[in-house]
Amino acid sequence: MTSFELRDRLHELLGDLLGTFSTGIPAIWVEPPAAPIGNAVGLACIIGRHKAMKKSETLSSNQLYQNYDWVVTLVQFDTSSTGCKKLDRALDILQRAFPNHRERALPFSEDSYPQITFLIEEHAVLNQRG
Amino acid sequence: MATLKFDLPKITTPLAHYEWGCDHAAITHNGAVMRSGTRIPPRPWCDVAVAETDLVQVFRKHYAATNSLQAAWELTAFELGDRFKDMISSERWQWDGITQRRNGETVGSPRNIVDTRELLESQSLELK
Repeated sequence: MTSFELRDRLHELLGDLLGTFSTGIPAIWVEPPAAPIGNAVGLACIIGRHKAMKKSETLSSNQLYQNYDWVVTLVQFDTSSTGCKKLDRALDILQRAFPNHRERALPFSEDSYPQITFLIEEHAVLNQRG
Repeated sequence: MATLKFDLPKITTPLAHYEWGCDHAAITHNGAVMRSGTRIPPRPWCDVAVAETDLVQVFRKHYAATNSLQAAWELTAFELGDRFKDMISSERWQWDGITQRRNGETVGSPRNIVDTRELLESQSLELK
C-alpha cells in the first residue's frame, strides 16, 4: 500500500465524517507538505507520507522483510459533543477496517484539540536485486 | 518409585510498565494541534527506541551473563528504560524554527527533548 492508496481508502471509509480545510476541500491530507489546518472545520485526517519502519531484515533468499506503521492522525476541530461523537465514530470505523493497529488518544486538555494517533501495521517482503 | 520433579523457570513479573508522569509527555510523544493554532510535531521516543533496539538480543546477552530468566528480564527492562532516556536526550527530533527554551537554551533542529529535564526525570518503570 502507498500513502496515496491509504489516503483514498481512508477517504472512502470516513466520507461524510470528514470536515473541511479553509479552502473548502475535504480535511484529509498526506503530509509533508504540512496540512493546511488553519481555520479547519470538523474532523481532519492527516496521513504521514513516509511509513515508520520498525524492522527491516534480510532473509535467506535475497529478500528483505519489513515491518512498519502508517501513522494516521485524527484531529477534531469541532469540540462540541457532536464533534466528539464523530471522532468516536471515525475511530470505530478505522478499528474495524484495520484490525492490525495501535491507537493513542491524547489526554483531554483545554489547550489542545481532541486527537487520536492511529498506527496501521503492515508487513512486506521485498525482492532485492542481486 | 522415583519421582522426577522439574520446576520450569518462570518470570514472576512479566510486565514492564513505563510511565512518564509530566503533563506534556503525551503531547510531546504524539504531537498535537493546540487551540492557539500552534502545531506540535510528534517526537515518538518510545516507538523509535523499541524499533531500534533488538530486545531479543539484549535479553540473550543478559541471560548469558546471569543464567537467570528473571534477572535477564529485569536487566532487559532496565536497558530499554535507558534507551528511552537516550532517545529523549538525542539531538534527532525535527522542529521548524528556533526556540528559546525555559532552561535558557536556544535550540534549532534537530534537537533533543530534554529542556527542563521534567520529561526525562518523570520516567518510571514498574515490573509487575
